[in-house]
Amino acid sequence: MSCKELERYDRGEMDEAEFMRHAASCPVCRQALRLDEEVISLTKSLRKTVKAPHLWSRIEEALREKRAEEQQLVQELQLEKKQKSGRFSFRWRFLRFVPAAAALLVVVGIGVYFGLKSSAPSSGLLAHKALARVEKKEQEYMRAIKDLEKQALPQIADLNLDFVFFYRTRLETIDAQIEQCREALALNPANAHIRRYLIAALREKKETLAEVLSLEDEDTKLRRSI
Amino acid sequence: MDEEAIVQKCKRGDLMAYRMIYERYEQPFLRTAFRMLGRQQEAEDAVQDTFLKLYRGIHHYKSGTRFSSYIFRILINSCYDVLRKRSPEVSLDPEKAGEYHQPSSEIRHSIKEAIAALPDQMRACFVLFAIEGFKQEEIAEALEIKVGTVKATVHWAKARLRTWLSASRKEEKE
Repeated sequence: MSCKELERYDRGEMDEAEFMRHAASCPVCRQALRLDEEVISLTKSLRKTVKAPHLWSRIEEALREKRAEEQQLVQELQLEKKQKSGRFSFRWRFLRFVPAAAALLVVVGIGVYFGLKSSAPSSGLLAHKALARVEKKEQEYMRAIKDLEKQALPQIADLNLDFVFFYRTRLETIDAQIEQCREALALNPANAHIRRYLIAALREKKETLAEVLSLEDEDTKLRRSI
Repeated sequence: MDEEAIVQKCKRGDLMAYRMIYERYEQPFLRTAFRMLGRQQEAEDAVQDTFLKLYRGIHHYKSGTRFSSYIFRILINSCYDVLRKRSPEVSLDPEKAGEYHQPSSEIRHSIKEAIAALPDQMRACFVLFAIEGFKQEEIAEALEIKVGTVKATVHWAKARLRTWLSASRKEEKE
């Protein structure tokens, strides 16, 4: 036999004081409360220590195996990437990149020099509308870079050391180019050459960050597949 | 060390951090799994499975949410997996209390058997509530059900156990 008021109380639709007033005049609820107390007390007696002395050793061994499997698969993936990237090792490819970055810096430097030198309006200067369009494009890149940075920068630290060195250096070089362009544009905002270099540097930064994320995605896929 | 810091270490693959979690949850885990499954070996397997799933899925854990609910959800799901492999799923609808079959007279001697005879989800709710002392909100998070469902389920579990207790007392008198 049961009383609807007990169900209401258990469901939280009635407060304790109200239920107790009801129970004082309801023998069914009084009996239910007495039995509930007994059930809970019997149940609490089951709260005993369960001995499993070797369980952690088993778990630890299983976790170590899992971690080793993951590490091995990540290494295999990185090796596969290196092999796919051609006959040059990753370090050699990085060294090949250094003269290109240096050349780009020199070109940017020359551009900045001539940009600063030309104070009078010339054919290289952007018209007001074109300048607005270019600035809009730069802002789009900046927003995309900001979003990518949030995800990619924490991931760089988790990569293989070769990749960490490579991507950090590459991003530092690009940041230096962007900084140089910005300094020059502060003096001469309408210089088309410097704007072009800035857009190119921003595009390169965006692509580099996306590349870092694609590496991370592959690692994640790999982890999930394990 | 607070739980959030331990979880961060787990995310970096630090096995010592997993051990810290094990030490904190060893007894609640083993007790709950044992009450859910009734067999020590299966309970230990469910706990081990919980840690492997935690290792694989720790990156999905969102900081700021209750870790105990998150980890108990994994444990209860591991227990359900074992039960599913064992036999066809029992109806979990707490409203169907009238269809409850009393434990037979041979097994009516212990509260353990009475709890073991509850449907899976009802047993999970009741064990977390009455043995582990979880709040109803925590149970709702751990089982991914509404708080109202937890309240109703605990109500029906108590009703069934009351019936069992009354019957046991009557048998004793006879």
